[in-house]
Amino acid sequence: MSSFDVYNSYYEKLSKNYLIVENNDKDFFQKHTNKIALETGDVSGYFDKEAIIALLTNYSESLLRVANNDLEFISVGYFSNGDYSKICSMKKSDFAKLATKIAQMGKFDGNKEILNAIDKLTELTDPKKAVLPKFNVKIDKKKYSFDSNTIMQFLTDGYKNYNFKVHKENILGLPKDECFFMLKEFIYENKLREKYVFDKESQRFIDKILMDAYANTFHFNKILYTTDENLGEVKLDDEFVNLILCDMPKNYSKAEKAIYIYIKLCKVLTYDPEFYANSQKGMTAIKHKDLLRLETITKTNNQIVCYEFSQIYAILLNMVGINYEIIGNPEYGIGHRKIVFRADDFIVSADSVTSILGGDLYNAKINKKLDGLLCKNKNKQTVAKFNSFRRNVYQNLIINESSNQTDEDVFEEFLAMFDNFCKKEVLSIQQKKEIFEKQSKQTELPTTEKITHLMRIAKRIFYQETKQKKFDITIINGKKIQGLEIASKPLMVFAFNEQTFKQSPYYTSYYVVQDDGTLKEISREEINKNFDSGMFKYINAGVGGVHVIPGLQTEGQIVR
Amino acid sequence: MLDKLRSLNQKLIEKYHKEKDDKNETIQKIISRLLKDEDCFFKVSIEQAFTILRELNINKEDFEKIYLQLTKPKNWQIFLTILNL
Repeated sequence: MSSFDVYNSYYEKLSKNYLIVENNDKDFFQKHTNKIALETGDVSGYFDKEAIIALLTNYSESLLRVANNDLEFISVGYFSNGDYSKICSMKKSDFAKLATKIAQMGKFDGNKEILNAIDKLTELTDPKKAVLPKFNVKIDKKKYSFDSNTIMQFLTDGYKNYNFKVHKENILGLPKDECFFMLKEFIYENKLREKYVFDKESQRFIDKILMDAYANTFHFNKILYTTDENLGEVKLDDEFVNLILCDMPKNYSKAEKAIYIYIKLCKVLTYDPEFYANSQKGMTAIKHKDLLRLETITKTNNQIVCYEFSQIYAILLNMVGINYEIIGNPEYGIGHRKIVFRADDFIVSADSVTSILGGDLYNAKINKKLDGLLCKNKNKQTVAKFNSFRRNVYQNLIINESSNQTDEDVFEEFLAMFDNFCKKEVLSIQQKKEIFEKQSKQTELPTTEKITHLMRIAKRIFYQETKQKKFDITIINGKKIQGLEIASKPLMVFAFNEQTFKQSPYYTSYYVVQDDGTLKEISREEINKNFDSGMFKYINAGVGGVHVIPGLQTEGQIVR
Repeated sequence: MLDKLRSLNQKLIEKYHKEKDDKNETIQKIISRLLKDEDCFFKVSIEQAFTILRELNINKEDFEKIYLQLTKPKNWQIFLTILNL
């Protein structure tokens, strides 16, 4: 074979897969390879309108030959000094869409040859006319085989018969999650988005499949086994293992067990301060590189660094049947390490040292939200489910931890948790006033103690309003004329404001608690009149000074 | 009355645990911790108190009655009798 024949044979092979333009045209096509959107459509491509028109006009035969191959791109290039140089590539589907849109603009009206070429291109990129081989797929440890036409029919049409939000039965012979994993693999392997033009609805369906919008598929074929050369090399202290695992509920799922162990480890272990202070270098760094050091870790000998935490966690995950991968430097003791594991249908990343000052080794100790234990699945419902597990396991740990504590801090902590979980009941001011009056009427205590009790109750009933500076209680000396004498008696005065006392002091309404327990409204003017006449007087309560009625404008008194 | 609520709460913990209803079980465990404190209803706002009663599946019409009962001072006359005064 002559060198000319060799060259021809090479050129022939290349031209089956690449559209080769004349050298005269190469500059034109180089110039027209910007990624733009057509003004009439939403398609963008590597070739602009002029390049597409030129290719269809001058190279339609080559174009169709290239479009008919198995590749997902239409690549355009030229020959120079015996070598092929690529100008640009464009997805077949995008090329076909662009060509169709240009034709719809009337650009090729009357030109039968080009219009026929576009028709042929449309046919080649029509998914309903695709001829594909049998599709084989492995899902975790099981193998499946499918007729590709059946899958294509489902992707273009069949899916419309399903409501995936509620559908529980098998689809295409597989459980929902497995089916959507199979569809994803089919789409990727056959490069459907690159090679075929789907209608808008089908395209949207395919996009959502790839985002895991319908099902949870992220975990399939991932972390089916554990390969960790350190796994059998070290045995943790039995007492330490017991400390972590002893109270773990027996009925926990694998995911819950993984979460529980992570939190317990974060609560028990601590980052070595010397290692941190020495910038992770020096003699202290050497001691941490010894894998066997993990066998000495106990409740009191609990200082570790990131890769030690990861290794300890890995050993415990293995104990409860969870497979994992260690991410980081392959050599133990060099650089940061974290774990990614598979528990049930979740792929989870665990890093207790996202930062030395502020990671979960700190967060777990003060019952703060964790930030190092993250579900990596794409499906939103799956992530939400994992987050719910994480929250519940954490809350249960906190509750069990403090079951023997009785101090105020714990009560407040639980109250805050309660507020987070439950939407609060709502009561109107009128309802609250009525409840207070009923409480006041039924309180059978001597006067001073009754006032103490009612103040206590009022602070709870009007707690929200007090916090918002819309409610206040003042005890004053309310004098009463009894025969020829004036008797002093403590009198409760309530002040209510719809905004705040500071914002609109003049819009405060006042009530006194009468002897029979009822609330009687009293005007500002009457209060001031009584203060002026001496019938009302502030009680000097000693340390802290006088607590004045808010919203009154009387000389010498502070408006709250 | 507080003991009655504690008993209700315990039954709900068992019920939700059996039904594997994690969220409600956790809520009941939190309530359990709150109810351990004899002064619980003097430490929560009335809104929180009513919410606790709601979560214990008490009828809304009974909230006010039960709340008044829970926040009623223990009868001091009885104490005087006990002390023989």
